[in-house]
Amino acid sequence: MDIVNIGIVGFAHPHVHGYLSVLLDRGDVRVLGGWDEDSHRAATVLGPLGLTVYDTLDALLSSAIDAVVVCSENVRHAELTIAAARSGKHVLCEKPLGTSMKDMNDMVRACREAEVRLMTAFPCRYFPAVREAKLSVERGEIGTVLAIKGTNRGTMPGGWFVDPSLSGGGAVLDHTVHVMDLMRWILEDEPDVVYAEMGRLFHDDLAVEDTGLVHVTFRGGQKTVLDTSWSRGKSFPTFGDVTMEIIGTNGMISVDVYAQKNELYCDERVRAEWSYWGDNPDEDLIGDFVQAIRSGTPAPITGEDGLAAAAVALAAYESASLEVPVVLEVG
Amino acid sequence: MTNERSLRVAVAGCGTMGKLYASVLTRMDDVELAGFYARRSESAIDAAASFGTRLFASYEELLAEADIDVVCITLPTYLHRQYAVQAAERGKHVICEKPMALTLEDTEAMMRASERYGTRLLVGHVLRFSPEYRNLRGHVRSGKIGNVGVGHARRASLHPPSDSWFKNEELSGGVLFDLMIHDIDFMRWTLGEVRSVYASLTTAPGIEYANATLRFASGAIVNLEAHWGYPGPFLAEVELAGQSGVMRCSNLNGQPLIVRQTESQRTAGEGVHIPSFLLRKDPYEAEIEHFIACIRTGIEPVVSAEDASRAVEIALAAGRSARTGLPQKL
Repeated sequence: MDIVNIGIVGFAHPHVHGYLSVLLDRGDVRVLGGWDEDSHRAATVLGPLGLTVYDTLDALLSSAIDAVVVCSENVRHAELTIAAARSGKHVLCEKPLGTSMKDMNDMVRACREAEVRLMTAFPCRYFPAVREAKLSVERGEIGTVLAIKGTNRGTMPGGWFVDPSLSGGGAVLDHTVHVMDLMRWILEDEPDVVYAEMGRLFHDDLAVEDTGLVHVTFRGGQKTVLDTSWSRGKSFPTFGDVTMEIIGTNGMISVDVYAQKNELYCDERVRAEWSYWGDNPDEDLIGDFVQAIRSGTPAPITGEDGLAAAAVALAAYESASLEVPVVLEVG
Repeated sequence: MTNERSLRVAVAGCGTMGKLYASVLTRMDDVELAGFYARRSESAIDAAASFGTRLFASYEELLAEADIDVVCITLPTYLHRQYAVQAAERGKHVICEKPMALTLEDTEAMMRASERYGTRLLVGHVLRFSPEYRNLRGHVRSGKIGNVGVGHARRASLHPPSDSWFKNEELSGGVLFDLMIHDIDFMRWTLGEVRSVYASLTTAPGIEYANATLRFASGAIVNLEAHWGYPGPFLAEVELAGQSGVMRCSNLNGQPLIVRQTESQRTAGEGVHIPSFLLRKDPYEAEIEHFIACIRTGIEPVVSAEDASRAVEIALAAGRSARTGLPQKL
């Protein structure tokens, strides 16, 4: 079996740790090293693992790697993905895929022209509860889906996430895309009209919004709504959630991906903790990426998927600024 | 009226709520149940007999009884205005089940009549008397979780029976006025005035699901769900997240007693659900006692007619938003 060689491009996003640990556990993958604009940031992660820190992006991209995992700041996804594609490397890109429609269209086009896979890192599709929910909908167990209420609440991440020149936006961009991808995937339909309320309501001194409520009507008329807020503070027992209540003509499905948890009360920390013990969705996400590279088949979650989910977040900003619902352009 | 004699209280309407009001009134010391007014039916005759009270053949006959002090209106919502105004005209205080009415024209007429005839108009927004909601509000108002940024409330129940007046939107206002108005009033009571509403309403056979996002003058963003035809046990949940904490409340928690029988006695299907409480005083009892005290002593109620009218205004705006697809400013 051919080994797939992988390089890490950017270590800004903390999800890089999860992806790296899954990559290193696989027998069919070799991580050759990585590069970050801030070489110290790359060295901090790669050093203890004995992996190479490349001095330049070009050096990494001209090495023996087959693919890259992009975990840079959001605004740099486009430039780094396009550079990797032009070097013939497949790309797994952290979400959100990009911070503007132009950037994301350029990314998708560059990967298509270079005939490399572009996969958006939407691990939430791989939670067993989400997969079962989709299968249940497909089997018609709740009839026709009428509405979905979702939440992807989280903790204010700080750092570059709250610097709009690096993140492209706050809680709405950060947390619209995961559940929007799940809704598109489950409904097998596209968002049509977006209305959003948002604000900076939890952290007075942030430069980005920390609160978002995004309503999306799909083309088939299904009404969905999603809370994207960074509303979990230091006293809340866990960092955040991913939930969906799917309302059908013949029933309902409730998804709470982190419900497989134990309650931990520990005197070292004043707050109670919910300790998740369910499956790690990153394993299947990385597995599918590696499989797509090896088999030459399209990635199961594409750049177009990443673009469609992020387009909703961008429309949400437009809606909030105009205070009216915004119709998405048909892509 | 004086403290020397019991207040005589009649109940207009003899459905689920009418009987519930009557059972509370008969448990109270200083109150006398003066009778029901309801269309003559086997159920109304049985109810009057079981409460040992009179069944008035007409509302006019009830209003003509000079020693009836208070009328509780538990009739279908579209009738509230007419019955409340007539009671006020005859000098009778009114305790009106929520929602107050279906239009602002009606709520204003009710308030005008109460003002003109010097009678009280008390609207039963029972969450204001529910200990779990009062506990939640108390912590939020005292600043325990800081300024509220985002909130959620969900109220889900069986679908009303298909032959009931609830099903007719003209009569009941539908799920927005039956269920969501509870949370609208609670959130406004807790967070202040509402600036705008964006809502959707989804219907299918046996299902009416409303979803509304309220933007408050404080900046807070609150998403409300009201669901008839929920395929599970009655659900009432709230979460408020603020700058220094999160508070959550669910009727599925806080069950100090669970009795499990080997064969399920649970009834399924359609119905109107009234949650039961293991409390010395259930919220309806607390509410009606408070209203009676307001009438007796002239104190200000926990929920004013103006509050109830504002809840109607917000529910109307949610309905308009759902119809037009546009946010509605208030």
